[in-house]
Amino acid sequence: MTNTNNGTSTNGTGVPPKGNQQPPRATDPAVYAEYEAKWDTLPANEEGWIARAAEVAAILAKDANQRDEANATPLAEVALLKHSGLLKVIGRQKYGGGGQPISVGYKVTREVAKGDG
Amino acid sequence: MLLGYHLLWSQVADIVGSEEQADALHKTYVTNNYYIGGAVNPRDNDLKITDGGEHAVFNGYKHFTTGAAVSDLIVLEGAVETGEHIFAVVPTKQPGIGFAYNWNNIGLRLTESGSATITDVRVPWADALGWKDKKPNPADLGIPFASLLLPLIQLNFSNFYLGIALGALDTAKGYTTTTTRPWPFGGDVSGVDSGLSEIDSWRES
Repeated sequence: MTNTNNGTSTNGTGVPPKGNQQPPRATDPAVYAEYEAKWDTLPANEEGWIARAAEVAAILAKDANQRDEANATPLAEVALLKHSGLLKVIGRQKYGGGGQPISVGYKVTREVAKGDG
Repeated sequence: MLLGYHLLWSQVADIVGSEEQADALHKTYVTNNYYIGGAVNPRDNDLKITDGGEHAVFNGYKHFTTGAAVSDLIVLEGAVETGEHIFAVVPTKQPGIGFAYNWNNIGLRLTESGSATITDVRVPWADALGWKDKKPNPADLGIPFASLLLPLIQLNFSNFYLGIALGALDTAKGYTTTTTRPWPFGGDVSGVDSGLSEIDSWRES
């Protein structure tokens, strides 16, 4: 299975990059559209947030290998994270965030990484 | 890694910015459910900042911009002529920010850590985190709390590596209890059980 950017990968080797390209391949957020309605409230405590992260990990684990090899820009994966509410876990509660301490932020990162680092 | 970096940058203003800057960032990203990426690498000086009067003007490029190409907001970090570094959070989709998509993930998972080119991105001086009157503000940047930024970045790595390792152990354990056959005694699982209890006790520690 091919896993290249047509030879244009530089992985930060110091060559000034050319910007303003469009992603050669990107995942499609529509694949996770069903989850937008599923998680309509934010978890209320640390256990709830970690459980939410575990749900996301399980969804990502299903095809982590294929998406890894495809090497496409992860637009769908970011959409899934947005649907899950996980982006707000340490956000200030007065604006609608989870208000959790940074330690919980790290724990949910760890939990999601179990499915797809 | 995408989640970890977003969470890190979501509170960059809490660490190195003023209370007003931090509050404004929380309000913006939480109410809009934004994803925040970063074009940050303080080990090099290839993103330069010049004074454009009301604005700091960023020009140059950054490698290793994890999550930036898929973000709504992006943390820029550049160097002024005198060598100090400035962090600022700006909207990603603007003409001056482009991405090279030159990251080959080679098994590191989809972190989208390619390069970004920054051309004439103008940031109001009021948004330069922790700066006041075009100078670093010691009340925000001179305090020990501000130095937490680097340990927090490194803890991000520790946590997703830990998660990857724990996930791998779980997967391996699942495989050996359901699919594999120990050589040469196909059907004899006694060796597998003792190996698994060793893995469990190692994992507990």
